[in-house]
Amino acid sequence: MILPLLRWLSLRHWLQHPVRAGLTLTGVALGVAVTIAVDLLAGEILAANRRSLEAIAGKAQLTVTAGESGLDRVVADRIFGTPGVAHVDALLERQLIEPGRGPILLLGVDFLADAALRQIEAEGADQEVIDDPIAFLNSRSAAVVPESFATRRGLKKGDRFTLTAADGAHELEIRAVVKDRGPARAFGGDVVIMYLDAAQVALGMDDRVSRVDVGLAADAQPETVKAALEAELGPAFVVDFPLRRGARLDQMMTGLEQALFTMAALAIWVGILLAYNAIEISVRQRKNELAILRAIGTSRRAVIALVLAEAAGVGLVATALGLGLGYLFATYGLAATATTVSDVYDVVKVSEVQLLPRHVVTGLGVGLLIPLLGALRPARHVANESPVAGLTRGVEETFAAGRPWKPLVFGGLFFVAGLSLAWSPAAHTNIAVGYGAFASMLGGSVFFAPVIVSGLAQVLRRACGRRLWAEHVVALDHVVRDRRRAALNVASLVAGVATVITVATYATSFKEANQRWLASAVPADVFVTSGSKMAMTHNTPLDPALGQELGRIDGVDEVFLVRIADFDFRGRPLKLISTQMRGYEARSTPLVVEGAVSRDGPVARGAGVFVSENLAGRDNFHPGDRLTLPTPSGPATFEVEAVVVDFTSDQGVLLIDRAPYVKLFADPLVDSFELFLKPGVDPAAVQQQIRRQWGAKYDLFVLTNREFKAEAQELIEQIFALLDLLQLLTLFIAVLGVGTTLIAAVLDRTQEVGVMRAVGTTPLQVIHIVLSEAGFIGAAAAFFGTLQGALCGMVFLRTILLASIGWRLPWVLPESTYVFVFLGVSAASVVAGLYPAWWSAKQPTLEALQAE
Amino acid sequence: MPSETGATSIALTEVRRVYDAGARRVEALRGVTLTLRAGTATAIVGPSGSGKSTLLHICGALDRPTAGEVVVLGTNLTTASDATLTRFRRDHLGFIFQFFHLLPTLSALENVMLPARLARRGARAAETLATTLLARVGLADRVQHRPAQLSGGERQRVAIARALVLDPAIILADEPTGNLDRATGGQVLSLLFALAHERQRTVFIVTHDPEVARLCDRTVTLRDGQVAL
Ligand SMILES: Nc1ncnc2c1ncn2[C@@H]1O[C@H](COP(=O)(O)OP(=O)(O)O)[C@@H](O)[C@H]1O
Ligand SMILES: [Mg+2]
Repeated sequence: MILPLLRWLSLRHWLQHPVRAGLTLTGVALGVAVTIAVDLLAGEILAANRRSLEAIAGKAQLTVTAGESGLDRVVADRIFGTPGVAHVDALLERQLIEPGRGPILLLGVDFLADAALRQIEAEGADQEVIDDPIAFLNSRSAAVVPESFATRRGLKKGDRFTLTAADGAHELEIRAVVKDRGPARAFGGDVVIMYLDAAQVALGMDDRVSRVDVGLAADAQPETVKAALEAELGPAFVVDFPLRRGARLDQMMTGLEQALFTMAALAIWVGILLAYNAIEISVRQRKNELAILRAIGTSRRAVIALVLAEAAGVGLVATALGLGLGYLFATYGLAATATTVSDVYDVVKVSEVQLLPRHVVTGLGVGLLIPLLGALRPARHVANESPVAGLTRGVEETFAAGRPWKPLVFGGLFFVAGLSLAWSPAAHTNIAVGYGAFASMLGGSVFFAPVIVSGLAQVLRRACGRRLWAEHVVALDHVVRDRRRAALNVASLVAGVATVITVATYATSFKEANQRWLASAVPADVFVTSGSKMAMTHNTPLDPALGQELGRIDGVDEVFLVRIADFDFRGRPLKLISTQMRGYEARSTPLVVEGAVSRDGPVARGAGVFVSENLAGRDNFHPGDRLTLPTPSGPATFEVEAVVVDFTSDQGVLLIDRAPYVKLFADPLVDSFELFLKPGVDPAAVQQQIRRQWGAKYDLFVLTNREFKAEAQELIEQIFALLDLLQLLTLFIAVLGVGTTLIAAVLDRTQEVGVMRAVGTTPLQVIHIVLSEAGFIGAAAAFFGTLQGALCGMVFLRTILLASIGWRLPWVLPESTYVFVFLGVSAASVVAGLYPAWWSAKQPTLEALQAE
Repeated sequence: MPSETGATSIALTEVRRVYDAGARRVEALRGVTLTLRAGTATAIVGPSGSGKSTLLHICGALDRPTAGEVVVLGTNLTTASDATLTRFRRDHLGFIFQFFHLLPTLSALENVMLPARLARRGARAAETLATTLLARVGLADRVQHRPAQLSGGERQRVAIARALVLDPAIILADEPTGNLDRATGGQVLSLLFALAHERQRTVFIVTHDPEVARLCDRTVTLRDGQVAL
């Protein structure tokens, strides 16, 4: 029964109405595409990070580290002696600077040791260099580089290049070129491999290594061996699984992950709305045909089955199309942002996106399941209606908007539910509650948004009907009449805008909070770092001796030596910040959340610690608590003096005095010199002098206070720039969705346009009408989306962000984004209306007039 | 373009119209020569498919002949551009259709005002004019109604008002009573003729109703795309 129907009716219908068929396919395919593209991009950004870490970790199952200063190589023997350990490999890992290019990862590898965990491969003769490394064991400058490294720089075997370390420049010679595999793939290929001993000498590391990789015996349980190693080595050492350890090295990753997740969820949402809408419209448009089927005796069941079978067919084709389209969007998007991504997350070198079975499943979910759902409602409606009623009511009427109170009530309920979730105490700690609140509000707007947009049109029409041009009156009428047809596409546009505004609210609020914090807590006049402008991320630590020299500069009052060390604490990669607290506290005003900072309190005396707000909130620390930190010299206890605001790390920050830090961690290096000048001294002059004297030697960055703050803003902006792409992509597709709705609408309106043309409407006026309609939808959706985004932004700050990172940010509205989004979305919407407008205007009047 | 009674309003010379629908070739008009005087009412009658609508469309600047010449109000429409035709329709012609073809979202008043507003006439002037016309067709108390809230006869009266709002020299109607019952159709037509006479307008009306034809000054019969004598 169904098969012949499908053949005779469905296939013919689709073939005879290629534009309609195309629109439906496009709608569903766009839905799949946006879902897949954003998923691919977000996934790739996170995966690239993991790949890089995997590459460094190689086949190791566990890794042992001991803070920034590393561990003694002899520890490797103790590790090897632990039951269950089969292989150990000691490695040196340092970030150096390649002048004019940026950070390079230097790996010191023991080529003479057990190579079971290592995968460094070379071609032909070069392989011998690695297998029989005697030749370059004696050389302090011999290096091995990956193929991509050499190609990018136009270097070959025998060539020399320069890297800058804490103690100045080092010249290295390429002895061998290896394949881009294993560790050579880490850091996107920006890796230089040296013989461990040579690297140690070159970097003045004595016999210290950064970490020891551990391979397990075949029958050993990783958890058991981990516990055994922890017991054997004591609390000064961190034993971890390589990937988990790697994931902790990321800066800002938590916030980014949440934002990426929000974006991906939004994309799925937009995708679902688009796909649902496309199918729903296509079924409604055929209701007369289906009613005839019913009238001539086809059963309800058969009609529903027919519609569903069709939806499944369309869904399958659209899914395939959407997967391809999504892949294209992602690939081009990636090409557009690859630089930004690498700039910000230097461990992350994004290569190329990969379609996985998971994506196909998601694609089918959006492309097949949603169309089936979208078809079911109108199909059942037609099947259950008496054939007579179905035949007498026109297509336009099925789109006619019903009373607006129902969607308003539904939308209101969702909104209220969302807000109450956001205000429930659980939202502060449970991230799922936050997402629930967020989803609830977006869900509410599906009901709300279309009513509001068409309501705005109605109000505008009533309020200034006389003064409006006829084109605008007609356009506004179309908006009102097409409420139901455009509903879901308007809703997806609103959701897109709302999310952009939400992320912008996060960005603005974060920037504002960061500026307040920097202004009061980090007030130095000049900042000196090496390798990177900010000490927070991938800079090269410097020798403290430079501090004394800087202090001797004319006009410099005091120099503070700041160390920002990675520090694993209770399973979290914190930042442990140390400086001379006694004097520093006199100059800066920490933003105290709890407790009080005093001139000779525990921190100034070297016995206390300031805890960042997010860490304190998570682990429930309060002033007066005692905190025991694992150090290479054994556990050390500090008293919590105050809980303070600090945005150095989203994982949490501990601040202690420099003296106990240097002693406990045996680490005298300095990440940043903070200079306070005598009154009246020009920072720019001091800056010039430092650059002249030491700049080249240490690859220094010297920033005045103003530049430092600007740099901090810039860094935040770069992090958010990554999200811009995903947002633009989602908005772009949402706008395309509006475009397809307009095409369907002008198709159905052919005859009306014919009438208008007959009574003297010019083609330009027809174009004007469609573009006004498009522009109005865009502007109204942007307006409502902005309102909703402002609210969602607050919800994001006080729920998702608070629960995931623990920062309490002020709610700052991103006004400039409002203007940008409003104009951008309105304009894009008008552009999306160009094709339907042109199509509508070029229809021959007489044919249009006679169209059915 | 003012037209004196007696002057030539529409002049067709050897007008042919051939539809080429793939393999099927239909000659809808096969050499029609016809002159209509300004200020008169002419009925075109003839069996279905004889080319009446085609002829009306060509006179109404909605279609162009395949061969022959069409001069309306002194303007040669045979080869005029689309833009010219559009402007010509707006400024000189009024249409009344069998299926009324009012815009469903606009009120009766707005439907009547629409051509005037699209021609950039002032809102106040257009409204006054439209209100007067609606009163004249007996719909003074229906101005705010939507087409869906009006009966067939009322809709057609709105359409007549719309056709007259820019005071066209020629009114073209294609079976204006085809969708109305006899009594209503009669009323609507009387109204149309009354208004046309008042203003000395040319009326060109397609019909297959002999009653309608009787009300006109002249009847032209088409048969197989030719004027039957
Ligand atoms: N767009 C068209 N394409 C092909 N043939 C057409 C078209 N319009 C009209 N015809 C044909 O031209 C002939 C005249 O049509 P028409 O002028 O509508 O006749 P009438 O109005 O007298 O019934 C008919 O045979 C009709 O089938
Ligand atoms: Mg006809």
